[in-house]
Amino acid sequence: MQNQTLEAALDLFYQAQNPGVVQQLPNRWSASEGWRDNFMAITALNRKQLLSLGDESRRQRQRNREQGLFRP
Amino acid sequence: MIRYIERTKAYYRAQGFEHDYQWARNTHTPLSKPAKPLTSARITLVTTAVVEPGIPKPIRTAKSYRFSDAPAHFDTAEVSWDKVTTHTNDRESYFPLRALNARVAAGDIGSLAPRFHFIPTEYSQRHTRDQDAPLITQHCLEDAVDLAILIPL
Repeated sequence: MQNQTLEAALDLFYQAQNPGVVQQLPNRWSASEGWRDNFMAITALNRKQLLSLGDESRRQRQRNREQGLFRP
Repeated sequence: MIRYIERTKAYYRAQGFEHDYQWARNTHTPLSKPAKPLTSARITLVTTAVVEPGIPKPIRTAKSYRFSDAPAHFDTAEVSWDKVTTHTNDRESYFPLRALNARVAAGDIGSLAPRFHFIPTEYSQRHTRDQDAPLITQHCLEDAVDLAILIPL
């Protein structure tokens, strides 16, 4: 599968007729399609946890700013 | 189909962020056809996988490394991907160096450039557009690169 993906990428350099072309490959992540529902899912069970993650992220950003850890 | 942008916006709103990320829209990107056939082209990789995790994330900038110095495992924990469904245990799945070397050895690709390039995932479009991308472009020109494959994680 990795070789086929690389092959498709190399072909695209020469076959693309427009910028921003997206080529879909037939590969599947897994036999189950369940991941589609779970990816970045917001549920009654994880709402509190997500908010807590966001709070920690904002605190970390503030600490970074205070320590001069940012790009000009 | 997953509507990634809508789902991502909702996910970060659920984390209490008030402003949605503004995705870049490069509507005027020109198409650049390769000047050489693949059999004589020089190729490189651009990755968002982290080479030096010791550098704090907020101050990571684009940087180029010799392919011979590529780590056996990049740090991929901090970038966003579906960590439930897949993994990055196999470096070839996001940094196909062995596959490229095999094609070079077989004569399918002209040569591998001496350096690959790290570009950080950034909230700031300005950092990517005005600082990181120009540096990588400069290094690709120095290395006489014809083709660069960007593999974002």
